[in-house]
Amino acid sequence: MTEVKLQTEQAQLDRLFQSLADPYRRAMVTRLVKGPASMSELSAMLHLALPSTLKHLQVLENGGMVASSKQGRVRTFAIDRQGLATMQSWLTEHQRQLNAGFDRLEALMRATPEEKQP
Amino acid sequence: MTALSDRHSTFTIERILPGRPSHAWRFWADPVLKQAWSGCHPDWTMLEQIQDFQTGGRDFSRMRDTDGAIHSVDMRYLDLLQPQRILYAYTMHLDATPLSASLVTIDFMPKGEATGMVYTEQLTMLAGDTAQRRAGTGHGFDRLVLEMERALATLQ
Repeated sequence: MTEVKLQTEQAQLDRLFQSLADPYRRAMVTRLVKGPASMSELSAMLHLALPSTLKHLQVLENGGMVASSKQGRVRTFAIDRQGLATMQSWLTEHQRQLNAGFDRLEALMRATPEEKQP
Repeated sequence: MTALSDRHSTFTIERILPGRPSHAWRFWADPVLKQAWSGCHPDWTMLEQIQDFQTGGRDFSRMRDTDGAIHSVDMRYLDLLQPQRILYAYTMHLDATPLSASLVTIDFMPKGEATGMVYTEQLTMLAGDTAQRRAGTGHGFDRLVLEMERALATLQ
């Protein structure tokens, strides 16, 4: 892979991670993981005005996390599998391994008696 | 954003560990205890290992995975403050390719009978493409969602 392509990929990862740095947008992703939804469904679910809902969805779309399609007057949003694939990236895998290690640490500490305090 | 900063990221992982900080400390300081939780691939072959837990000491491992690829992790303990803080730098390599270089700070804070641990990693990705392709193989969509949720939890 060329240097430029790698950098583009890292920039995309940054946009993706930034798109998830908001509780409303994470709630949208959690909902969309279960299946596509229209903008009005999402706005009703989160008690958000339509313009704010659209703004959040645009950030997610820009980050590659969701994709939208329009049928007639209804715009439907769905999880972008490509975005998920990006998410399943080096950093995610690294953090997953760290967390798995800390799970083992926790279990082992629990199973090992504490030494008496001097 | 500059090309340089695209390679950089900082993240923290917070845990509550059972037992006091002095108890937690043993699981880094004692090589046997450390290996028992940090050795995450029982099917890999350890080719070389150094464990020297002291300021300036080196913690190095070189392992062969089931595909024959060589993974190495080379750490240097920069500062140890028992039982509050562990500070180290490390690099990871896949065969001859450097994957990342990081600075890690682990803080232990007493919380009653337990320990609050904060793991902070400042990471520079050196060849994310290679690892990304490897990490992306063999995972189904469900697994992806699960890991995404885990990543989200970490990011919060």
